[in-house]
Amino acid sequence: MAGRNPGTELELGWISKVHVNRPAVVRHAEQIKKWRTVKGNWQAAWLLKAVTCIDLTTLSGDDTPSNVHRLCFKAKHPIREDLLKALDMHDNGITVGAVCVYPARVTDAVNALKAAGCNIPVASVAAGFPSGQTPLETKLAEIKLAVEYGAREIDIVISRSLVLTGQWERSDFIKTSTGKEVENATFPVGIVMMRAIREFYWQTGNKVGFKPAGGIRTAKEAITWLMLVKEELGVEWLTPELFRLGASSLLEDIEKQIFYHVTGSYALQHDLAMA
Amino acid sequence: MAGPCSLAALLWKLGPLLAMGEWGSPGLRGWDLAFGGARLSGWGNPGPRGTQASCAGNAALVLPPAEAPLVPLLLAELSGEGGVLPPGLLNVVTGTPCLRRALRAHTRIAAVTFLGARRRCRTWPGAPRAGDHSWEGPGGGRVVVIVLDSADLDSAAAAIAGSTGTPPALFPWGGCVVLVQEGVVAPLERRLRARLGGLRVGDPLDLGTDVGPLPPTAAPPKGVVQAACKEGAEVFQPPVTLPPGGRFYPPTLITGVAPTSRCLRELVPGPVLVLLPVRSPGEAVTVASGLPHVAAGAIWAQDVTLALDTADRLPLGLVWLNALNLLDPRGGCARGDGDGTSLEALREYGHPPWEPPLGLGNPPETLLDPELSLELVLGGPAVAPNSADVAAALEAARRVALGWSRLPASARARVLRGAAAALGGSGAAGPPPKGDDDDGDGDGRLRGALLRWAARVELLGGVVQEVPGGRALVTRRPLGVVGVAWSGPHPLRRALELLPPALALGNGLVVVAPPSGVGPALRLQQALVAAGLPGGALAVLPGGAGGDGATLARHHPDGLWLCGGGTDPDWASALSVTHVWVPGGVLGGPGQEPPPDAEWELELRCTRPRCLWVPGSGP
Repeated sequence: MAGRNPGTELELGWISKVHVNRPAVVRHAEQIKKWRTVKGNWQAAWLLKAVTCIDLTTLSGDDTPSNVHRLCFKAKHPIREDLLKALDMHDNGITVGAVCVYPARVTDAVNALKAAGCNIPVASVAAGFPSGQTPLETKLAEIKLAVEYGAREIDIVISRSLVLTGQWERSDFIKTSTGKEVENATFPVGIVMMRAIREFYWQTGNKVGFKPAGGIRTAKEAITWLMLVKEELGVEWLTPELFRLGASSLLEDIEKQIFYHVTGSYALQHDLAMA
Repeated sequence: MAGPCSLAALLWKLGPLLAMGEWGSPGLRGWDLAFGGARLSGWGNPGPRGTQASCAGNAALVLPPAEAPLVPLLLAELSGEGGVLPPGLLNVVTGTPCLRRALRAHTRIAAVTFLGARRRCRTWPGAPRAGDHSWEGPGGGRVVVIVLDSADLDSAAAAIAGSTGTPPALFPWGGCVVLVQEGVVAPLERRLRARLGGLRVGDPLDLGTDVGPLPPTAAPPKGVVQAACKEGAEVFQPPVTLPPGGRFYPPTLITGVAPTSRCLRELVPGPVLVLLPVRSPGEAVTVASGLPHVAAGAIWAQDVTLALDTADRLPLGLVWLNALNLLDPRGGCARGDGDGTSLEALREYGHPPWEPPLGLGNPPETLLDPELSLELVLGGPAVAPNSADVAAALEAARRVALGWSRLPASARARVLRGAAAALGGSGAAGPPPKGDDDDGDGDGRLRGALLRWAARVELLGGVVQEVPGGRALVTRRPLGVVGVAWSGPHPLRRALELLPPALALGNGLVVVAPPSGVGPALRLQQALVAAGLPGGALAVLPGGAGGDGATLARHHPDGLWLCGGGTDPDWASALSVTHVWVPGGVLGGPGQEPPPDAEWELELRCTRPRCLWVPGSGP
């Protein structure tokens, strides 16, 4: 993880100086989708980069140790070995960025990853995920417990009631959404957040990370997110320390695209290991 | 010929293509486009269907500039292949400049359009005729961007950097001048530098590159940039790798210059941005108005009232609001001077039914009665107006015209109605002099015109075009000060009736009248001033000898109406004026009513379009 954000004094003046022109941002997002496309080997390379930034996620009510165990093993081997070999990337230790689960499943995840011999962090959602409408005391207790169980990263849900009434907080990493809403990570929203991150960096020198989550299902979208990060924040942000893609089914689509790139045909269901 | 509508569609598609071909050639030399041959029908009803059906019956003969003949040749070749256009419809002839003289003199050429920088017109022989026009068009200018302190700086920087890299067909010179309010200069500059660093220079056909090569035969901007450095300006060029060979120039940001610097006085080809701080929106408008070669503008501000107000004050035909370089997919706002709807663009290539057919061996005639002798028509000995008087009158009119045009339409209407009443009351002044009019009711018709236009101006509106991503509001603005050369060997009767529309729509007028016309014109002037017209808005000068049009043109009015027939000013002086018009039968023939579309035509002739792009909720 990147160094902790030591923070600054809360400067409400900065917030009031922010102006965002929504149609211009939407237009910019559309243009990026069209202009920055990659093909062939370059596309495969970007897809592998995207894989390393994925927070492989399972946040369902019916999560049990068995599916978490499966997820963690997939996290260690996200892409089929022979495909990686064909791309000459089998020695690069390609794994996902992290595994993201509910606090109650953190122990299972930690154990599974240990069994798989993988040292990627376990991220836990906390603080009354997904609504955030729980008392501050239980939120803090949840976070403490998750850390005790072995989570190295916590996705905290901010209290939206505080935001909507103008009471702000600070953080190391900002995430677009819980992924459980109707509208989650759209490109215009992401662009605005990334511009805020860059402004903060220019003002304080601290790099805050960015994680779009929810609704990212296709490899093409993943590449567009990477392009946006490169365009708005720069190449230094294109690393798991500063950028994560919160996704569950995305990995499947990426693997399919890589399969197609290597073999020239489309993968059948049994060709790729289930997460 | 094939069905008019399909031809219209074809030619309409060609139009923007022809315009876009200008991207390849520098704005210094233009194309010469001539339309000759058969004209199908006359002016349709000014609705889209009618215009479509009528205007497309032209054949075109294109003379490309000597340095860049390939694009038109390719276009002609492509149109011929597969029978896209019937043979003979689009012809491209390359050759030496003396071809132009031959083209101009040819009897079967009905009208000539000149595309390109106006100063090239000086080499043209002969005078413009009714139906000829020039189109400054692409290559005519650059974009000025005003960023106020409530703007979304990131989006503005992204849009400006994007436009620097990929100039659209409109502004092949690329680059733009950015006027920034002082409070946000540093943040905007920082963002611009970051974005310029991310631009990729390379083959324009490759979608992944942003910046293409310089236009052919344009001098690389090295000289201008060096001059800026010598003046102490700061020049930022990100370390991009330029492709080998070809004429590439890295994106450049110049700050710390003043309006006297070369980079602001001249059009600089290539991806060069100039940043200039201003203190307030008012100052931004003043500086923008003082820059030469500006074709369009953009305003970035989240404060909507301020943005709209600033946009209104800019004297440009095309203004974007919180956007840059958005193009109407139909090519509606395709001209640098923002010629409104596609309807009006098509108008340029047809001619109304009340005009006699152009060219085809007939010299253009104004509608006059050949029975009357010249003396009787003029009504007295001809005089040449004093050049100093003309200059003074134009100057006074300019000072007053702005205020006059800013008045609400109802105020102007009130003045016109008052003048009509005053004229009615002056029937006791005696019968109008002979030879002035057909049926002796000049005053009555003038009163009618005043009242009609008073009513019409109160209902004046515009057009709203919905386009993807927002809407374009196309309104009409007065031309400014119009010089009316009423004198000449064949002065147009009833030319006084052209004055009420011009005044109603907010113009100032300087009329050079023949001896017979001075009296009625002065009467009209007195009536208007008595009703409240600011002094100087309508000036009447005695004239009557030939060459009045040239005299007026030399002082650069915003519009020039030649109502005298015969001797027209030559191309050079006429084309220094943007809107030259030879009114003919728009007022109706002797003893006839004006044709039905005349009022619309007059409205268009007295105003120029102004297009304001307002972004909407987006796709």
